[in-house]
Amino acid sequence: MNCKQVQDLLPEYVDRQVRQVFLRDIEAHLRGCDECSKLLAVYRDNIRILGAFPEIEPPPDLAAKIFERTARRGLIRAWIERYLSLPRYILLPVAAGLLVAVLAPVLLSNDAASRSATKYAHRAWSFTLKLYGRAEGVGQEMASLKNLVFLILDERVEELQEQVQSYKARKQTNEQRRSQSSYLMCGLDSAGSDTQGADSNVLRQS
Amino acid sequence: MTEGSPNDRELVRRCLRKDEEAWRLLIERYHRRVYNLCYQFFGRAGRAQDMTQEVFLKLYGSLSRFRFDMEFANWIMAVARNLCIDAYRKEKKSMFANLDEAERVPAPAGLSPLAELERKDAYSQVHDALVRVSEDLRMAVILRDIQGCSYDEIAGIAGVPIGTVKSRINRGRLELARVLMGARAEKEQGA
Repeated sequence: MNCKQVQDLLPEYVDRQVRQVFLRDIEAHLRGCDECSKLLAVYRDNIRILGAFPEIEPPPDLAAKIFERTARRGLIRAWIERYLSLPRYILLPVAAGLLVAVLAPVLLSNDAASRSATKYAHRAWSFTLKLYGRAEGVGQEMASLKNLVFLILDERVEELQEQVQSYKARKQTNEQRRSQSSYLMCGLDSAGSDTQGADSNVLRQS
Repeated sequence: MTEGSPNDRELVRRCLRKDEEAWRLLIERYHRRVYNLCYQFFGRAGRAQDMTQEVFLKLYGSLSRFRFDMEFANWIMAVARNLCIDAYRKEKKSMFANLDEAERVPAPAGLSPLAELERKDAYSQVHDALVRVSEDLRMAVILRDIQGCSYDEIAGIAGVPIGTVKSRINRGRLELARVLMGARAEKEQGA
């Protein structure tokens, strides 16, 4: 048997599951081969060391962190599920009412028209609230909507801050580059105009 | 699990009824085991912490798909195994170049300073070599030799037949021994 054949059979040999016909050959090879017997010793050592690997203590606040993150996600998911389960006929007047309420005072400069539009917007909104109240309880919906917005903001605010910082840094670098390149261009322009002036002087002289 | 405390299946049922306390109990019960698996697989405390959180987030999102005819412990370990291997494959090239000294496996307490040092060195060497073994084989060795799972459990966790599990464990152990021998030879040459 060569080294490769013996090494491939080492796991079975250690577990005493190697077939009897190979056993004598393996042992004979191990007696004469330093490398294979070293590998066998390391193999056995590893199993012993791995079996005694100490348990690592996780950070003390890990469980609390996991709970907080999953609870947050659970709230968001619950709200989305509830939102998606509402009938569409309820969502349509909500959207229309919000749109009118927000846009009317902005778009209409005429006071009377604006007042009238706002009045209809309020009616649409009240009608929507009634529908919501019958369907699910609008107060709860609005509260969970507010929670959802704040939760998303909480998660995203750090990311947004980083993006703003990197955008500012990029902008600053670009401005510096631009000012450097414009400075260089000015230098080149003035150098070019000097050369042109020199050329014209030569022409004039000739 | 202490006597009188609810079993895992009961806790999952309560979680599905939006019982937050049940979810907190499941986290308390399993976060240490998941953290250790991630730590043994990645060899980094920070990565293990992130992965443990990912495992529980994934679990939380898929609790409704839990099959009550299987062990919850096996299910959570299967989720952890799959996430670790997926994450490792994505980040393969940049990781494991060097493990920080501070993040290596600590030796167990109660040993003399010299014995502790020797033991710590042995653990660190094996662990350094372990994180260089290919991912499927490494996971099989961790589950069998460190976590002490049975072949049946590993087959359930990895979703492969027992024959494949045995073969992976054997090949993993052999690869580990070869990596370790290579590392020692390099060290001797360097010295």
